[in-house]
Amino acid sequence: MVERIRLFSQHVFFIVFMYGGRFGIHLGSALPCFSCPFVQGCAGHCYLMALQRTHVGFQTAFEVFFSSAFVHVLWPFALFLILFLPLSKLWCAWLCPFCLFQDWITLIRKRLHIREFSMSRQVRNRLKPVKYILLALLILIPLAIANLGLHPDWGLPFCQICPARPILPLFTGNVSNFHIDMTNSVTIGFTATAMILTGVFLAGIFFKERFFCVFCLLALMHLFKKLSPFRFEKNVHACTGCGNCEQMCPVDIADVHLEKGKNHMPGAVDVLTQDCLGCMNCVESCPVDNALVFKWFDFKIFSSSRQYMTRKWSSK
Amino acid sequence: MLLDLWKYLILICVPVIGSFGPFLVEARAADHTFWNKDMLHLEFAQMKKHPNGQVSQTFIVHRPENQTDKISVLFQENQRPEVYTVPLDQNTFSIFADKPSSIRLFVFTRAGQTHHVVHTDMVLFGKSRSLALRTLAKPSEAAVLKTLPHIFLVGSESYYWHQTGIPLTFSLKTQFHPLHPVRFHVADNHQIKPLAADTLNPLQFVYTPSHDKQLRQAGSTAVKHNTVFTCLAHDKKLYHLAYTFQLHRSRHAFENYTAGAIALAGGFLVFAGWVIKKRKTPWWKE
Repeated sequence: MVERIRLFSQHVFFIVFMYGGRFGIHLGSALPCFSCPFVQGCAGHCYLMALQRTHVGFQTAFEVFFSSAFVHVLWPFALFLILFLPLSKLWCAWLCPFCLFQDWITLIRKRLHIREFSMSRQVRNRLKPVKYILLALLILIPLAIANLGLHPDWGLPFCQICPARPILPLFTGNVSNFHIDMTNSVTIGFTATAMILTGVFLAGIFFKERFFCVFCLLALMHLFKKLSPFRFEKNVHACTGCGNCEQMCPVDIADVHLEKGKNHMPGAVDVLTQDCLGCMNCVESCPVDNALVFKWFDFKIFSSSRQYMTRKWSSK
Repeated sequence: MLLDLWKYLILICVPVIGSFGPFLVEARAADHTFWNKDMLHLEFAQMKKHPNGQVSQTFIVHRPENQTDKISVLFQENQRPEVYTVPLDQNTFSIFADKPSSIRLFVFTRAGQTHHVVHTDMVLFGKSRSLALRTLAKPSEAAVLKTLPHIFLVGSESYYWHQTGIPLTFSLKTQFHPLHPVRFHVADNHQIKPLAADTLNPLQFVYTPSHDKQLRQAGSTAVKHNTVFTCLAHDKKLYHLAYTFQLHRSRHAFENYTAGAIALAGGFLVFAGWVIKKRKTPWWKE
């Protein structure tokens, strides 16, 4: 049931984000999901672009950071927080268009009966810092352009290599982002990297569910999770340690399964990790009543139940 | 007797020379040697983003020789009817914008019987709460714009990002019919080139700027400035008209789709091959 509602939500928001601009919907330039600005007629832009831009992002002279004009940099950030905080990680698995694209590819793989490749915990842990390194570069490169004279073709560094840039416009019939720009060495470097990465991610998404989400820079949201009323809690005393949650997780999060809490802590422990997409697959597959709970303030959105799990798996 | 002879000579010669006058003016109008020192022209100088969010564009004015009138600088914003004037500080002036503004700028003066008019369009992406300082032109000054002959870039209201390799069409707006066939020239990297007239409309001229190596090496926002100019003769007056425009490097001319497809396929195959080679564990569900 929850999975169906989620799929329905993903498809509705895919249509809204990808084509909404054609019907006069504009949700601003600070969306916490991959609503790509390179899609003509999209309903809003991913916040990562605003972060890299001049005037509203970090491609701004240092003097501006200490002037009243800094409000232009703060405003998209404030808008990002306003949009992100109520829904938190639900943006990923319930609204993000690129997440749905990955789900479609996974569906094709499953239909073809091709096995997924497994990623060990060690590899996953090694890959965790990659997104934060990219995030740091995304801020430092625009700063260097504005203040240290770095070549302006380094502008929008993340957008230039983001696989969503060539892939998402395909859904509006636009194939123009599949090229190498021979204008100069910087453009050749960026566009060649973008094409190779797009190839790598297409293969990765095919062989591994939500492969792109491992590197998604919007994990930046996680830094502000404490401000959000959205909570994902585990009752460590109720958990039987069956490991269903880890096995059902599209991004193989082990923390929910392994979290034991500390002796002095109450039973409910926050298990919303940086990689969590909020898909609720783990809650659906948990056989213990109220062992896993998604909450909005103190209101239970969805909690695990033996009856629900039995009904779901017996119907499959 | 001698005095009478002079009278006759004057009586005969003045109309003869007078009748040649327009042809002399016309001959002057048909060439392009007046470019540069004889002509009023504009140079785009620094565009600056100010800490308060306003954006300014500074211009340098190159005065014509023997200038007799003061130089007037008038502009309109976002196709609104209000006309603003900008004071000239020696040979420079700046236009400020507090919001995204499409600016239509005219600079004009007179040198004897020669009228000089330079026109340009640009977009300034200001974003500020403090209003840019503007001075409304007097109605008499503003009225001049309605009759001012000028060159304009066709479609410049709807598209401002002009690129090398893409044809630009220029045309002429006048209240009179010039005495001679109109010819346009362009000053591009200190070279003067004639523009080809449109086959369907002799008053429209097409110019395809060639790709520029320096622009390619510079960033995507780098610009160079070209000037299209002409000289018209009418009613024993000369009109030196110019249109200065900013040119960016081509966005799409150097895109190689074959190389893109090869890189994409390469990335896909290498990673897919690596996954297939390394795969050890079965998918749990199957």
